[in-house]
Amino acid sequence: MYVYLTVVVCTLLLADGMGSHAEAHEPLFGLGPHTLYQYGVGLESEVKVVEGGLSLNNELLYGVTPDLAVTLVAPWVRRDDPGVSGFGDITLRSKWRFLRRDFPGGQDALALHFGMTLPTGGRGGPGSTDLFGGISAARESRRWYYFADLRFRLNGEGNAVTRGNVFAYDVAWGLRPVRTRYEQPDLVMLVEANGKVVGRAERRGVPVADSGGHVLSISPGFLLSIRNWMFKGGLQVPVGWDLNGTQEAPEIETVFGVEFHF
Amino acid sequence: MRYRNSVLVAVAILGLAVGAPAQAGVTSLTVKVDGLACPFCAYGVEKKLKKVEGVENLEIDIEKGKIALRVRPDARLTGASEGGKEASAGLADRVRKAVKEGGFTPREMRVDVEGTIAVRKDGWQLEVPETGETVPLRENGHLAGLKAEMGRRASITGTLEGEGARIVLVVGRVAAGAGTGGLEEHGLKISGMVCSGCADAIRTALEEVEGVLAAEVDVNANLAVVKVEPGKVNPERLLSAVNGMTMEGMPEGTFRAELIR
Repeated sequence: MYVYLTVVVCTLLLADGMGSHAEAHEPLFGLGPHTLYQYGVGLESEVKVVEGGLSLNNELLYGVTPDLAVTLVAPWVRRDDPGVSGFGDITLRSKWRFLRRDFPGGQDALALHFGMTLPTGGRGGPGSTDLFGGISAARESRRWYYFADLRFRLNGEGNAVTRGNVFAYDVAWGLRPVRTRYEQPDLVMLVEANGKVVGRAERRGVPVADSGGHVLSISPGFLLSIRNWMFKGGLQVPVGWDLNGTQEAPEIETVFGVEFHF
Repeated sequence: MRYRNSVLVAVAILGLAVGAPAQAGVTSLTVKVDGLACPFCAYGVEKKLKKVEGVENLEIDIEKGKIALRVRPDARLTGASEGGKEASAGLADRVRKAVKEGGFTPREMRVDVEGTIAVRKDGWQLEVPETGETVPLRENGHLAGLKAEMGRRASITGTLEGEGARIVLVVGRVAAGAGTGGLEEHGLKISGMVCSGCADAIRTALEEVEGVLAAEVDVNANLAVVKVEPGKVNPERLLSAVNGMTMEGMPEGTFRAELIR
């Protein structure tokens, strides 16, 4: 507990993210409670094609204890409008798996998440310092995976704009169709339901009418691992939305990534 | 001649056969791990276990939730202590710690250990001279098997309970080893015994002599068979242990022991 509080305080002092970057066997768009083994180091690169551009999230993961992990995310971002590209805002995240119940062939876990994004990206970025938090739960077994989480993001002001705060909720199911042996490729199919409620943005303290709303998405994906390598990919397809004012319909997001544990 | 025959019969009854020494120590170690569900996560525990001193290789069976370790024959199962304090962790504790650091829960540790079975004041023990360790045994319904192999090299399969200095091997199976590994035997003719209490007291006195691994005393035959570590025990010390002992209500010198040569 003390270690986690220390990490949280350090994170606050040093440095977005809704934390929707997957680690190990976790949802691609939601959160999961998995952590890295103690003193373990991991690298992850994740390409996310989003509305109006794409981001390449480069992540460095570290296992402080078997139940506490920290992550540094340094994204490279390309935005279509305006046409800019470069390193985006750095994010520091921490995850404390405060409850873990191991049983033969499976694990139940609950974790707290905390993160912060600093306005290091310069031009094209929101220019704000944002805080992120959440709680996630999972049951993992040899055949099935179940995930659920609640998360929020408190957005700061940047470039005279304060983006609306975000509350999100996710559930996910995973299936391992073939239970392979340890050194064989291991495939897990995922489907997620992702809900996101975004508050109205403010420009110089004045609410922006055409901003914010509620979007519900269904997201199929896969996780393919070979020992300490993992390849992952998925689509987030909006299936229902209630947006404030006049806004374009949300677009499909695509994510592909590779993760390596040293 | 009569005594010599009696000793031979006693040796046969106790099953104290002599043969070539076998390789002692831990020959295999399997740890059952709770929480193992995915290969990607299991990599962490593989990495941790491969760093454990004494572990040469391992095989992870995710479906069965167990990890079989191939360990060096000279790896100490229990910790080494200096001045009553634990100086270094044994293999069992190191493996348990590695599994925990890997993010899982070690549930059961099953080992095959070879050594010499002996009885001490604290109970049954497996002595492994090659690694210099003594592993306390819990007989768990296998008393007959332990008695049959007492003083001999034997292989014990069982589960480990406890941590640090409190590790106990709960015996699951006792298999005859490859003989006594050159242990010495001494036969004693003992006079003055009148009951099983006398025999128990004499056995205890003999087993308290440093270097003695096991002793069996037959009150009816007035005989004792003592198994000792080679070259460690002067037979005169065995005689002194018996001749110098006293029992309540009996004067000193009641028991007299002679070495049968």
